[in-house]
Amino acid sequence: MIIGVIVLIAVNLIALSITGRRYHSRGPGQIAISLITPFQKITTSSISFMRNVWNHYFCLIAVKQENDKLKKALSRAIEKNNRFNETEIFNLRLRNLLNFQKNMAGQTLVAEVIGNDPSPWFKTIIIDKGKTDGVEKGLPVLVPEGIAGQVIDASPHSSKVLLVIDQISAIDALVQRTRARGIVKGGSTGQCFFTYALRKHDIMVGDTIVSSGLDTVFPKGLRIGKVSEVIKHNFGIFQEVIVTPYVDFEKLEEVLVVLNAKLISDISDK
Amino acid sequence: MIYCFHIFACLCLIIFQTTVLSCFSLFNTFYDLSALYIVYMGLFFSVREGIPVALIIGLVMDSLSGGPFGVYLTTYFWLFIGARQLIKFFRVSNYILLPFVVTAAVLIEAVILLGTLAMLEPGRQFSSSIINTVAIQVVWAICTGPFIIQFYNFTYKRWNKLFNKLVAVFSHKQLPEINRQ
Repeated sequence: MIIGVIVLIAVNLIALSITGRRYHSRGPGQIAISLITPFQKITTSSISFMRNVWNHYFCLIAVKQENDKLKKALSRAIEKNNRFNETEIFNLRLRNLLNFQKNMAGQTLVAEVIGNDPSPWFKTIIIDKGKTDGVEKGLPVLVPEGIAGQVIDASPHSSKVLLVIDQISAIDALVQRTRARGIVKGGSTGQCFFTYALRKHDIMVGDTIVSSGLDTVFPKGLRIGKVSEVIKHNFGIFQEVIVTPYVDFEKLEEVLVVLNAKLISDISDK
Repeated sequence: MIYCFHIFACLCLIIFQTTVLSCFSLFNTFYDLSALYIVYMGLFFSVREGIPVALIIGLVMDSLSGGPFGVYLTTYFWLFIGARQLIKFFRVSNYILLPFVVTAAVLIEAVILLGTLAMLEPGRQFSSSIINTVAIQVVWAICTGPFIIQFYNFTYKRWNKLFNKLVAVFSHKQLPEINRQ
């Protein structure tokens, strides 16, 4: 028994020493490999696929998080940029207003438009300056482009301004080129009418209409609008003149209230 | 408390209309939202509740607007009366009628406003653009009015519910203290 075991071990060792020197498998070994490798391949690629999916899934989460962060950063940047743009425009507007204020002879007050008329039938705005700031009923309200309107009501901290385009608004005015006199009245479609202009006066499309200062409300020489249409009928002593205001009333944000307009009118009259 | 709610709601509407809505040129000729609120009050609330609110809001609107003073007071008063008369003949819950009610309200408001202007300011010229404005307002009213009234009603109901809940909670807290006394 013992001898049999020893012989078996020796044979095994010899066989092992012989087969151990072979690097290329042949016969059954190859068959086994051919049988197993496809499954191995499938399994490996499945694992690889799963690993890829797993890794990419986590990667996607990370990317999504990064994307969210970038989106937030972008929106913050856009908002900031918009704020800068807005500040720039605001700055420009204020500079214009400041230049205009410097050029104005009288004492002026900058006011912000805080509300519009609730009704489309009336053209008024509410500004954030009132009696406590020295605003009174009847004071003219201007913007660098020209006359905006007139204060019709003043409360302690706000005032109501009747715009030039309201139908009950009227300003004594002149045609800048020919000095033809008339009254600028508000129309119903955002335009004004230069009324009581005599037929004999030379008024052309494109002429500038300025305040005459004779109404003792608006100082002399302030721009009101541009003549956009002149209709001369075959009858009557007046001609029909349509004026487009220089001021864009839909975009009014800051205005100037002239606090001592009467004084300026008196000086300019003298 | 109910008055406070209605007045607060109307003030919010006025502020919205004069600041936010006016920023968009699309809504330049939008109809009066407070007028719609008055109609809503006429349809769903009693005279005791509605009249003071209509008058206060009319006064506020008159103060803000550039029109002759009292024109909104008059308009809102008659709108409220009109809405009250309407519910004598029709059921309030009949939502099919709402577009007509809203349209009628917008037209009545325009007629009263323009009529008052014609009466108080004889020199005022009325051009054909008025018809356009009224037509646009009517179209807006038909499209949005019923939903806005529903929204008013919904908001009021939610607020009422919340208020009642708060009152209940408050009274529960108070009861033990009263019992102790």
